[in-house]
Amino acid sequence: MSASLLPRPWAVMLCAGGLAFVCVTAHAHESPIDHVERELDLSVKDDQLLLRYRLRYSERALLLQIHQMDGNADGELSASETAAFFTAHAAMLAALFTVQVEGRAVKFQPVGAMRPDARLGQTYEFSAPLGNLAAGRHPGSFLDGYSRIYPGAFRWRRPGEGSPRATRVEPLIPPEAARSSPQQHPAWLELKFEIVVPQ
Amino acid sequence: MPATWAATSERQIIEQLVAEADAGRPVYDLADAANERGIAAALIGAEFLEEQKPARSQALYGVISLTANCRRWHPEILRLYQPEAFRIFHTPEGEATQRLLAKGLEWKAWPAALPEAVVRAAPVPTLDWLKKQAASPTPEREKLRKLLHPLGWWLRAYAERQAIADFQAALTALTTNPALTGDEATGLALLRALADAKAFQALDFVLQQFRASTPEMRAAAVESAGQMLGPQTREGSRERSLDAERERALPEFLRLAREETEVAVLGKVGTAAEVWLEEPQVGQAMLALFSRVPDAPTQRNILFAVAKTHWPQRAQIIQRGLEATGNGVLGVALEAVAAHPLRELAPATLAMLEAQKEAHPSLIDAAGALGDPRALPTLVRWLASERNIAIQLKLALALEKIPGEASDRALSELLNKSVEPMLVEQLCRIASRREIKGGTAILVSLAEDLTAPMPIRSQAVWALGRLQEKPARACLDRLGREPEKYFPTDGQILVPEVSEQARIFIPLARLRQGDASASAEIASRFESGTPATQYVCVLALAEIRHDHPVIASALGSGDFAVLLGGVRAAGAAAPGKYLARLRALRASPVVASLATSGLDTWRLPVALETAIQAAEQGSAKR
Repeated sequence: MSASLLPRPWAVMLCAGGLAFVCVTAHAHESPIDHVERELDLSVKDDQLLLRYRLRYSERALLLQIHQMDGNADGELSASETAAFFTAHAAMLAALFTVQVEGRAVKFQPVGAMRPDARLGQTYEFSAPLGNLAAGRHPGSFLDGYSRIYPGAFRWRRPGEGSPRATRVEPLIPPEAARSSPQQHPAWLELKFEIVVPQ
Repeated sequence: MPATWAATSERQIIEQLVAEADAGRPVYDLADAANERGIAAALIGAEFLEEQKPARSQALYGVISLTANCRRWHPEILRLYQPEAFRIFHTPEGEATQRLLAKGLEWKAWPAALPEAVVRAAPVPTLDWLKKQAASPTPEREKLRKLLHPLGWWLRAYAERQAIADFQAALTALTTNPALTGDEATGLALLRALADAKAFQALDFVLQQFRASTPEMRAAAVESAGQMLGPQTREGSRERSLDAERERALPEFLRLAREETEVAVLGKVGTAAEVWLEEPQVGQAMLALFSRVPDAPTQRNILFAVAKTHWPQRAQIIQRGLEATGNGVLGVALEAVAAHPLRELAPATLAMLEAQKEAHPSLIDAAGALGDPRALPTLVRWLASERNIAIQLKLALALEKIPGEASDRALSELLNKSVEPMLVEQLCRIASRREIKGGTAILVSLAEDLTAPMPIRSQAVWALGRLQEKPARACLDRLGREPEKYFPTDGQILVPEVSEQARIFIPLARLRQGDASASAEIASRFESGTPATQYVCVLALAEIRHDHPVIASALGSGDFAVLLGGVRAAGAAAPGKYLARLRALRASPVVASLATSGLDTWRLPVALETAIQAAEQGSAKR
């Protein structure tokens, strides 16, 4: 092997986080890949783990969603076109969530219709049966596969909030420390939490 | 939204804002909270507008302006996310609400926030007000100037979706009122607004101002002409060529270029010249102007224009630029060489290269574009001593464009030695576009180096696909047999995107080598890939002009990047096959609206048009 083919000191360079993603798109300006900002609320009510999940798409991404919804290509959306799209979208999101409580998989199902808001937000609600949790702390995790497809900044709203007498969801470690690998995209949504059931 | 406002109604927010404004206290947080509620908050605010309460009305018009920025959105987005805004802006019933929002237009004194607010929130009454000024013997000139400024911003940002033709017509009507055009300050504001609106209908008025008595008016007029005769959309509209208007403006433009003496005007002349892309008379006029006026800004503007045009005199103009000294003229001339690497420009460029001791970015680009092997010794010498990564990248790209063994050796050596990840990745890209003799072993080594950054390895794999040699094939076989071993996931549940992309490059590279059996793996990896991976995949197919079923999938994608890649791949690989799909996309009202939206479309409409033209030309030849 010639000297040039010896391993190079890449490790020093690998610290440049985000380089990989920027490089593959290979363009000098804004990426054509649309990112999605998200906010979530996790709570427990009536033995159900509830997720309120708000997505904020770019205007360009929303135009493409409209293009998808517009089945008859007339440029206008009917109530049935939008309902069909958002129902399928909610189901797709639920299918991409991986949730575990006490090491046991729980499955989110969409609840109700998507609620749009004035700032181009789409809010979905999901619930998953927890069964009868005993008093104490129950570790859990939430991994959002949709954030792998569309990464973006995320915010856990009011983590751990609630009365000490009520069952609540508390962050186990800060979300940024929950990543399983430094190679993971920083905007993937992965949470570790505890469900706290009072005595 | 801050938690403090979450449980507060729009009405409560506005009432509190009114109370704070009336008391002379700041209302920033309340305005933000109102903005979160959208146009609904503005409608409540309109109830509280009062001419006799200027501080309150200023605050409320601030809210109206913020919330009505949504008018730039596509109507179907409004219909879904702000149905009230859809009703106001896109239904006949909305006009009455617009008049409520714009009631301050009739006030004696305008709040400072009113002009921008009415432009955004109330196009119908704003147009009416403009028409009234156009017909009035005593128009409100000061107010008009205040209105034209935000209107210009709105139009320049391509935010006007509904009434662009109405605004063009209203602005044109203003040019017929001597009480407005006779006032220089108003005339200047009007010329700028006409330019922002690209109101070519007012061309005659603008051309008259080429003979105005003040240089400010002449400069504004020629700038305005340049903008209104240029592309009508951010993408460069193909629907309206404006050839007739350009022809009509040409004599007056040439006269001005010949006779004008004020450099402030001549600088604008140099910029406006670029709208006559192919016109030899303009080229001749710019050559004469460049020689006549030793003003650096004028000369730079002419050279910027030259880079975009095809005038037969372009080499002579650039040559004169290369002889210039100081004030940035030479740098722009070198950029023009990079845009038009004409053989007659080589001697001067090479002489400059030889005389230059340190690397010069524009000179590197120019030398690379000329592709002249005589540039190699200097470029290689610079590369050996250069530490700036941006310059190193430029030098590598320049070497790529110079054919021959010497540049091969230089690139191979660089690929061999460099430890700078961005440079190595760029070199791998170069290796995927042109052969680098002796580079195969290095590419194999990089592709299999588990410690190397993933994007470098992806590019190395893709470059190997260009090669037919045994080691390249053997490497791709090894990687293809165990992609999970070579591009691991580090035990994560979700596959990191960089690993996923590296993995899809393996079958793509094999396909590039001619191995049709890789096709199925490409399809399955595309299917499970993220949009970024799918985008990379179809761009790779576009690069090698290879048709594949995933292109059809990409054309049906609801993701912007994938659709963009699909259009490019369809256009490059098999435009005729996808012609019906491409035409359907072009005809889609939603996709068509992207072109005029002001959003970053990455030239999707142009890619669509190019692909369709390629298909139509192909079928015409058959």
